[in-house]
Amino acid sequence: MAVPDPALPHALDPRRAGSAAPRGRSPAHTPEPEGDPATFDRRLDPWLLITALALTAIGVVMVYSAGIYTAQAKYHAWEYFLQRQGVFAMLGLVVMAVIARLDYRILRRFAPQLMLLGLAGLVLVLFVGVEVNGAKRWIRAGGVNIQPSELAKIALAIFLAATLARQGERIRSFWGGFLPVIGVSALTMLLVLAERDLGTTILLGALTLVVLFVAGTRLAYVLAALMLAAPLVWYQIVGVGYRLDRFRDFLSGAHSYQIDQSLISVGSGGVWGVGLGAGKQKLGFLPENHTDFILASVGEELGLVGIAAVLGLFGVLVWRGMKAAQEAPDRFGAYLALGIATLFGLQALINIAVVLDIIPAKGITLPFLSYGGSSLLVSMAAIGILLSISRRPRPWKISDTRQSRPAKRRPEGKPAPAGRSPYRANARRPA
Amino acid sequence: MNSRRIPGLPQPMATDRRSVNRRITVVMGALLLGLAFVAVKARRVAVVEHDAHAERGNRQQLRAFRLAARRGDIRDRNGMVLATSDRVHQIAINPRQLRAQGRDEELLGLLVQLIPDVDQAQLRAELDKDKAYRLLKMILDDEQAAIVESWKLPGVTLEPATQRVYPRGLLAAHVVGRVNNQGEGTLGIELGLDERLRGRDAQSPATFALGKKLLLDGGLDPGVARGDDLTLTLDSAIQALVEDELNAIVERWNPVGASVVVLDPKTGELLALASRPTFDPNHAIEKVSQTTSLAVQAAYEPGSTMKAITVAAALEEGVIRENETLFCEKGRWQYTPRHVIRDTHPAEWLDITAILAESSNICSAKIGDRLGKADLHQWVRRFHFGERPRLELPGAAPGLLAKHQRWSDIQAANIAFGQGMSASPLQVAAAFGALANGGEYVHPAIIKKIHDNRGELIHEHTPQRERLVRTATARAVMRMLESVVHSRHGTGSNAAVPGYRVAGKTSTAQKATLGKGYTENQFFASFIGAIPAADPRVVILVSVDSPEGGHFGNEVAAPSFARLGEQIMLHLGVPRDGAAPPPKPMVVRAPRASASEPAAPPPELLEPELPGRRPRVSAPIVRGDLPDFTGLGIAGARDLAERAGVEIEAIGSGVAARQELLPRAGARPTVRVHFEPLSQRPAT
Repeated sequence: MAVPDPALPHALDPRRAGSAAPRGRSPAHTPEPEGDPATFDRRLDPWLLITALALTAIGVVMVYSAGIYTAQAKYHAWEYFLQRQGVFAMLGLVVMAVIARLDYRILRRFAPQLMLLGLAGLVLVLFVGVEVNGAKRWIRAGGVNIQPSELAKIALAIFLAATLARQGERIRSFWGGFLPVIGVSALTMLLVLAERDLGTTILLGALTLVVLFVAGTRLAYVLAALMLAAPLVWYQIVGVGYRLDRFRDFLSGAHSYQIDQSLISVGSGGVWGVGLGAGKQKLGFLPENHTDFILASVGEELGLVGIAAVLGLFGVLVWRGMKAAQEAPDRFGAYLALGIATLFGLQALINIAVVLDIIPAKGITLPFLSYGGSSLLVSMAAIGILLSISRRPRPWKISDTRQSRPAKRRPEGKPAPAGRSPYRANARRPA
Repeated sequence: MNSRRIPGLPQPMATDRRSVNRRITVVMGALLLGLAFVAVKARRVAVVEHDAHAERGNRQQLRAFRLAARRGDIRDRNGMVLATSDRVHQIAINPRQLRAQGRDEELLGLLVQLIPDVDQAQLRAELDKDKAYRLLKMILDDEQAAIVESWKLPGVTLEPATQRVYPRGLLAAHVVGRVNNQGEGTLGIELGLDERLRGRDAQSPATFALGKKLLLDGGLDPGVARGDDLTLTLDSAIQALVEDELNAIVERWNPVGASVVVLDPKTGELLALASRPTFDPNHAIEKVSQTTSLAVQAAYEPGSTMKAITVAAALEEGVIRENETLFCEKGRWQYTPRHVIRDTHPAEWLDITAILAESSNICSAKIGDRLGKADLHQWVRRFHFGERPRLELPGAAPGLLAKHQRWSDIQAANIAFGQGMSASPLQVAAAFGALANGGEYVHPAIIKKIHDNRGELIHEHTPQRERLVRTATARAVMRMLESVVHSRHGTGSNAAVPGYRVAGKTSTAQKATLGKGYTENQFFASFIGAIPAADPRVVILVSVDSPEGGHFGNEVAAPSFARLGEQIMLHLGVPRDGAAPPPKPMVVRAPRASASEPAAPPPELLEPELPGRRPRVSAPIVRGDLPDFTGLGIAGARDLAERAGVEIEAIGSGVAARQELLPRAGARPTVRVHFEPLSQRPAT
């Protein structure tokens, strides 16, 4: 490694100091550093890859095992879930491999479009969505159920990263930085909430605040947002019958049927579990044990060891994701990796906390493990993005936001000298 | 970090990568801490609270799976199945659901289409019930069940059921008995050994799944849940002959009832036991009277048969001598001022043999007098009259035998010739069997073997013997009884079987009506005999209650005895006197390969028919394709041909020696049978 600290911003790099300082731009207008071309083109992070593959593999096996009886009872095919999850895992692998080869910065350029797509999906589902278990979260298309909120999650993470990276120091101002970001994210959350998906709403809110926090917003804003959100969440719980019931159950210590069955599953698994495939809670006792409550099935069949393995894998995912964020060549990459790692970590945390009766029930899936095609595809695509960031790819010309869309608020917005732009360097790359 | 700030450089911004990375570390730490906290909670649930959760899990997951025991089979002594259980299907419906979805009419239509003779009114009533579960009575076989399954109607499910099947229909119906719809034995052995046949239900832990019980760890061996298998002493071939003969008796004499007992006197095993009226156990019984096994459950006045017992007792006591003669009062004896004893064949002086041969009531009464009331009573009791036979058949009649202290003089005299007391045909046959078995009484038995569900023999019949009279006495009586059949004046001449000596006794008992003494026109005609007389293989008792157009035992019962005797002897392969033993199989399947071909029907005939709606059996006859006539007389051959539905062309005289199948001319196959005289046929 030529550079001792690749994470060191080039503004502080003694070798770069001379070239950066004379430009004399105000800090607010500092263009985002594009990273040091000398540290580009690393190997992708094998930890991330292996962890993601392991989680997917565990997921396919556990979906088969946990859903086998439901599949037979509902679809008259023992392998129904296995086949579908397997197909999506294969598809996901391809998607992951392709995205890992891309320059992640391309997402920055298309972040608004992606965000619009995500919002459009959320609006669409309100009209044409199919209702499952009282929640309208899926669009049926050609025999496949697509969950737009899955796409919205990743789109919001990309959008936040792109916006915050571009805004830079302006994020510390309320009107110019904080509010617009919160506005888009609040719109997304509102649409998700309209699907009666409080879990994902909270997840999106948490993601927004975490990314804002890391991007340098004043803590006061984050705390204020939390205090503003608390009564809204309270109203959502108290105002909706089944949520209130769940909440009351949780507070009173009396478990709802599903949580009770979940505890029985994990509890009867013990340390080593009853053995893969030998679980009995799947025989109609634990509802949704192949989707939201798949960790309970892991606990029953593979025991505490299985749960620890899954927790450990998510831990590795968070660790390597955050590491990719810290070592990202630019702020967009850092914020995006942070957002994705936070999404995985938080979602897993919430799901497992529900399964283990730490927090009241939410309808939220466990990434990679829970049965669900669109969820698995999006998760693996997200891993692809993380891998791409960890690779520190050379910027592609197509990813250059400055050439296609010059920043309007840059009065002296001349394009940087050709020789200094990494994009040029990329363009000159020998074939 | 402030301390590491390089002096002179601008104030680090919030978006400074160093601060960003620091905050990323904070977020990562928070998430990892959260995961660690969750792991601690997971450990508490999975390890600390493991027992409590596992126990709750077991409580809801584990169920006991009960496999209803399959009722044991009943077979005859040769292994032919007389009663077995089929696994069949029944339809369970949910009338509420069917009506709510408006599919009830559809189901009704489909069922009528499937089973045309279904009771539509009853079906309609079931469908109209406000219930969520009704089990329809109809029994379906596998094919019909598959059809029902293919309808895919909501609220219609199939349930496995067992159906008791009696593949031989009427054959030995009274002995085998019947089970009711709940699978409980109600008649015959099915009732008598219900507990053993029923067996114990097998239990196995099962897992409960969506309302179903699943056996996950291996299966449950259906062989465990199985009742004991019974092997009866009955011989289906003999039983079939007996049933046939009874049918003939019913047709010829139109009696109130009739029964036949065939007993092996050496072992006490009942080879055949049949009564009329009877029933088909595969179907509902129309009249209660059909279910009474007259041979076992009814008590009649045994009549003249008792004379043999009286004589045996008197000989044993020494009150008479074998060659003594008694004065028989020329057929009318004023026994008491109010009572006269009459003889059918008036005589003056008769020896003991003649008394039996001509069946003199007067002289029998005199012999009874010599014994005295107490001794006579004791002897009658020793022959097990007045006590319930120790038999697995339910409702065995003990008969009536008053204490001798309460006997009037005329009653004592009556008992000496078998009136004034009652006994079931079975008791009479068993008592007579004691004389045939050299004075040793063997308790009659109907169960030969019992095998448990693992196929192990847990009970085998061993004859329980009891010496009543000395062998010499019994032999003497048997010799005397031969004259009943074979002497000029014998009353049982119709019982003669060509080629065999018969020791027997006719009986023509007047029937008593309640409180009005004896009727003049109703008789209980019977013939009991042992054959062959010298070393009896079987004792046959033919009883006919109130025959029309005849009343003497010799007239009504003896011919049947003769026919049965001959056929049974041939079946058992007993050689005719001085002749080579006839080929054992009486009925074989054509074409005959050799005389030694086994008589056993092919296995498929032994197996029960498949369930479904069985045709009602009208006349059960075990019958091959072409009968074997060899060894039969002309009459026997004609009879057999009649029953087998073939024409015969008889050539020569004597006993059939060869037979050949002629080219088919008419509707029935024709067999040419060559008869040859037997050189050493007995003169009588």
